[in-house]
Amino acid sequence: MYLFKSFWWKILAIIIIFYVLIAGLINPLPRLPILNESIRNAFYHPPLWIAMMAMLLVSAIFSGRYLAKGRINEDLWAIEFANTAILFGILGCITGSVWAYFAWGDFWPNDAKTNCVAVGMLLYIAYFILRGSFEDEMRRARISAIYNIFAFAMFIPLIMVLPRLTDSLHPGNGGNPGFSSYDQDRSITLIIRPAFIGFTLLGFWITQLRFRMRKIEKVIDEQDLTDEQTISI
Amino acid sequence: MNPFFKHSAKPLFLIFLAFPIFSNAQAKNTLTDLLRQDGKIWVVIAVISIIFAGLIYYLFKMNQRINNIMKRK
Repeated sequence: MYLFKSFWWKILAIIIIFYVLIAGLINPLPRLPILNESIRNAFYHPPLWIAMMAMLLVSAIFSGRYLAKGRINEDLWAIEFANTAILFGILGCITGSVWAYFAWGDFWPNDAKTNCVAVGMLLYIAYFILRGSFEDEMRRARISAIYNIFAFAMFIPLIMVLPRLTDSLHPGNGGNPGFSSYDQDRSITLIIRPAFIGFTLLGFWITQLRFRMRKIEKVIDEQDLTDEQTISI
Repeated sequence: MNPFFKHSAKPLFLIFLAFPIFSNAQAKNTLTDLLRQDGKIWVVIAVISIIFAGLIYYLFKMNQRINNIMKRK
């Protein structure tokens, strides 16, 4: 984590997101029927999901590290990565819903990918509830770390594998062509790939702030506890 | 002339004049039609503003939590 203590990646995130916002709205793109200009949503809706998956992966890795080494900080990283990931997931659901209404004609089409992702988000909401149900810190950290790894192992097949086996409206799923088939001059690829990186870095930044906040909260909690003990003695 | 009609003729006339605009507004200019204009670029604007609103909401909640921590200290 030493590399991420410096600030260069935050500046990178800002530059990339500005590039994606401006180039994504201005650059000429392939003209497709029905989608029209709303194809530009491809720079703002899918990166949310990529960032979410990246953060859930890192969260699962931190849970594994907690189980291996037993440092409580790694458990805090895991919960905060999951928190930010679910924020991005909820935003992805809402933006996808708006886009779906104008492209497919329904706010929540009975699509394999959307339904599977709803199930996946419920898995992570169960993770938060599980964490809330323990008083003892060590036990909470250990059991929720195990659950987090299982949840990630369920989530990736749900969102990546299952929609590709059945019918789906999403491009690249269920035998549909992906956006790359319309993209001869790489005009989409040139913006969407940086967008994946930029949104992921933004998520990492938010997570880092949340982690610091939680750590300070923990330190103050412990101080309060020791103060109470000294008073009672 | 009826005094009521005398004073209300002008606004009534204006309202009737504007009626086609209002009725048109109700029939056509719903939000979805607005978003479908200009090659659906407004859908993209809506999506970007939803993302921004979500991030701001998250920051706002974090702000409140940090305020609580500061109060305890």
